[in-house]
Amino acid sequence: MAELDSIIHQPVRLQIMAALSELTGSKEVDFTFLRTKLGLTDGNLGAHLITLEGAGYLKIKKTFVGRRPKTFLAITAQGRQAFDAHVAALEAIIKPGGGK
Amino acid sequence: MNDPLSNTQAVQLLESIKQSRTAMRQAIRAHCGHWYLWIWGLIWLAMALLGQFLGTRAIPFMNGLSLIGVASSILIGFVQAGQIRAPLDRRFLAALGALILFGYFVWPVVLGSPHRSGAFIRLFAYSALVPMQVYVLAGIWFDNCLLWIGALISVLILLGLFAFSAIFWIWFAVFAAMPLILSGFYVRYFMR
Repeated sequence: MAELDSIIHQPVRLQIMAALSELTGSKEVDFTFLRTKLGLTDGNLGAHLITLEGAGYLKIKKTFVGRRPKTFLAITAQGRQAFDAHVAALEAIIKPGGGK
Repeated sequence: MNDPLSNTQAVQLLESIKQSRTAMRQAIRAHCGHWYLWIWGLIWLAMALLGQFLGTRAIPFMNGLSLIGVASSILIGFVQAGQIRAPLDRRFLAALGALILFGYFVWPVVLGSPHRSGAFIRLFAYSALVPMQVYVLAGIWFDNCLLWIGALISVLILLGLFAFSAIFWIWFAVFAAMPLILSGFYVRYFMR
C-alpha cells in the first residue's frame, strides 16, 4: 500500500503539487500566475517551492522575458510519481476499513 | 508518517487537491488556443462578407484584417507564454516555418495575381487552406484535436471552391468561418 509522503503532506505543498500535476508534457507555469491561482504570498510559495525542489519534485527555471525576470515551475517525473502515490495513500484511508 | 490520518482529514485533503487541480485545469483551458480560433473565425467571417459585396475591391481590407489577426495572435501568444508555456519545440518551429514560407511566399509566383479575373476566389481559398495545414501539422505533432479541425475545415473549403463556387463567399462564411469559431468553443469548454 502507498504511504503518505511527509514532504507533500504539508497543506500548501499539497496544493502546489496538485496544481502542477495538471501540467501535461513539459509545460511550465509562471511563479506569479501560480501564486495568484493558489492565493498564496510570494514568501510562502517561494519557501515551499525550495523544499519541493530540494526533494526533486519540481524544477525551478529562472529566465528573462524581455527585461523582466521570470520564474517558471514544472513538476518532475519523480514529483508526479510521489504525488500520485500520496493521493493513492489518501484514497486508501477513506476506503472502508482504511482510516482510524 | 508516524501519525495516521483520520478518514475526515483524508477527505478534506482530497477535497483540497481537487480544488487546486480544478483551478489549474481552468487556467490551462484558458491557454488552449481558443482565442486564435475565435479571432480568425471572426476575421474570416468579415472577409467572406467583404468578398461577397466588394469582390476584388475587398483585397486591401482583407490584407488589413490579416495584419490585425497576425498582430492580435502575436500579442495573445506573448501574454499567454508569460503564464503557462511549453518549451519551444525547434523541430516543430522549423516544420511550421517551412510550411508558411512555401504557402505564403510561393503561391503568388505559382498562381498569379489575385487581381486577375477568376483567380481571386481560388487564391483566397488557398490562403485560408495554408493555416488549416498548420493546424493539421500541429495536431499531428502534439496529438490534439487541431488535426481534425484543420482537416475538416480544409475539406469544407475545397468543397465550396469546387462544388459551390457560385456561392463561395456565403459557403465560406457558414462552413469555414463559423466552424472555426465553434471549434474555439469546443477547445475552450470541452477539450481535455
